[in-house]
Amino acid sequence: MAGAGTGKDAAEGSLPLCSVCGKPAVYFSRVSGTHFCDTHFLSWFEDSVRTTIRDCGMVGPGDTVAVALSGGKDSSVLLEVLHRIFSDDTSVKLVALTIDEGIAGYREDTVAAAERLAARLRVPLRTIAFPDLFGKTLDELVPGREQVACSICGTLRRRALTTLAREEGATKLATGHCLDDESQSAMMNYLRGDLTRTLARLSPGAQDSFVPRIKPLRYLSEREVVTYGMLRNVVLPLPECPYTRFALRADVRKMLGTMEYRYPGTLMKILQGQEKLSGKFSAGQDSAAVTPCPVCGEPTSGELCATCTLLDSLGIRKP
Amino acid sequence: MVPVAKDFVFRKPMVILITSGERKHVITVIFPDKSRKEFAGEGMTGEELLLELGLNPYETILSRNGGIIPEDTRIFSGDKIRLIAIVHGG
Repeated sequence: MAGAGTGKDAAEGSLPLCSVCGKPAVYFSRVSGTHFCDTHFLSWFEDSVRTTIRDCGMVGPGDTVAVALSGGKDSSVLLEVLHRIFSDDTSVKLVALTIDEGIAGYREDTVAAAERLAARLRVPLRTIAFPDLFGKTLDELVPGREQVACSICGTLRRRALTTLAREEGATKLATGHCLDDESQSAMMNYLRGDLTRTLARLSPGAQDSFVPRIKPLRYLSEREVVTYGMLRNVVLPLPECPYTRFALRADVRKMLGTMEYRYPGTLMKILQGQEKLSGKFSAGQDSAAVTPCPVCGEPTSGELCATCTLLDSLGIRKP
Repeated sequence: MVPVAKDFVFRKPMVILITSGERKHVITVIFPDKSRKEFAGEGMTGEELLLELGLNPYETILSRNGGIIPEDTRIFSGDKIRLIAIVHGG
């Protein structure tokens, strides 16, 4: 979708103008009070991702970056923007990874979207399905456990991504988590009273895996990510995951969405507060507290890793 | 800067849903589920329209006649406004 705006609109004063160049605007940032036209919004967005990658040391020469590509809007935007940033950099390789969890009526369309995007950008794509690793689809695992569907899916999907990333020789695993996701996760951890996750899980590049995870979109809001995706034509109308309505995240998302509208900048303040807190905590911690899981060998801070604990509770042995 | 409304409660309608009769001077709103409704209401901003419809402007992107517009854009009769929900599972 192109940016709107005609000369007539601007002349009539119905359409706000870009704060940079004076052309008709497509986006208004409530936080900074800035209007952007399509050209300046796209360049601002891509510069923001570049800055995050550089300042957080997310990607360097020689890296193979595995991009978790669900085919939904966030991950599609992530692949598009990383492709643009690194298309001229032969020292960095991109590979896309798609996990088919087996969610009828939802995943078929998003997997097809992922395949189309990877083909258009000429980024190699690896796909794997839950039954290949865990013996069952998510639809087969969830009945009777709908309230924790997203937790089951997230844990198994992380393991599937780590497995594929390692097989592809990736040195980084990039996910499309944006500011909304990160601030929601921080708030959910508070609401659950989960001090361990509150203090440990939200660093810019989590090191709890042998393949370090990076989140280049974590300082950009969902609204900005969707706008970018629409302007770049990578966001398509797709079905909604049928399990999201059961999750605590749905309620937290609604609450924080209201707060962000009424008090612009709330999401960023939550994330920044979280980073200060985990920064102070991790400064005094011993990283050797992470040990290999005795069942699968993945790093864990407990006795069994989260995936093996979950597989045991579901009656499924290690993949 | 757009003034920040303090609640989303529908109070005094600025827009009037047109169900029959005169259809020449209308704003057509296409909802995320692709349903359409026609409203009368001249010169309100996109943000005001969303609040009147009970939607959170942070969670909705507007397009007018096929192109994205900021929420502080004024809307006039003849405009076709599509609402895009940014919240989505996936």
